[in-house]
Amino acid sequence: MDQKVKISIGILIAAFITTITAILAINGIQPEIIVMLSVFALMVITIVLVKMHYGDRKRQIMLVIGIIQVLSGFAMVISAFPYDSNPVNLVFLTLLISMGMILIIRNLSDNRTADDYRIQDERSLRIGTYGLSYSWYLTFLTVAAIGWITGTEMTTISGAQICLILIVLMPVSARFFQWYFNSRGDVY
Amino acid sequence: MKTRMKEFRARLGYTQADLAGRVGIRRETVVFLEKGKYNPSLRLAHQIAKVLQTSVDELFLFDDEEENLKGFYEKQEND
Repeated sequence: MDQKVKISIGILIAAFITTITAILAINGIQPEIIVMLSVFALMVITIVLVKMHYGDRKRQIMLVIGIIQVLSGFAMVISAFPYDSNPVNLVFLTLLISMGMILIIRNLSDNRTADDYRIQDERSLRIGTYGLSYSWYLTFLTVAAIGWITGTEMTTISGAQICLILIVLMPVSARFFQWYFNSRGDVY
Repeated sequence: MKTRMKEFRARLGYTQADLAGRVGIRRETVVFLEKGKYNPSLRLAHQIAKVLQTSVDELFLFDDEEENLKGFYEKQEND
């Protein structure tokens, strides 16, 4: 599908959700639902912004939206929003802050890359693919090790801790392997 | 494998960025190609040769060809 079509669809979905949210707010529906729909709309916008190819202008927009999301999230924490009364509220609150941080970090990292970084040639695709493959294999070994350790009852690791380990391990190891192969020149 | 990309690039007055732009690859890729640290696919080798107005055989040298070329240049100097 064409890049512009994808962006247009993403923006239309976000606009639709925002409209529904506004209508619900006018009719006095519970604030949690409104927040949920707003966060979902922002999530769609975030995904569109991260995936699209953009110039300086759009990168500024990304940074502004990221900052707004993070500040909104923290504002909800210190305001009267009942985020701890319902686990779902907490999920959407953390999602809002996380999305904002992703946009900000992505913006900052893009400022440090070369202008032709967006070109995907055979070398960058090969290195990217190998990096992800090595990361997947490392994650598989880690999961196996965790299963072995917990199965033999050497220690107890909760599901949330395992998820956190994998969430950090997978992207960090993928970037590390990609950096390593890139510095060598090739994957062989 | 070694390459004569730098030599042909210099003849045409291209920078690494120029060559990368004309071929449609990153400048970083050109850097590693010239250092001999990356082996291109046949398609990419052909594209680069086309832009540098030469052939793949002239541009990329395998080990035994390097020795032949070294001997060729030494012979030229002696003559």
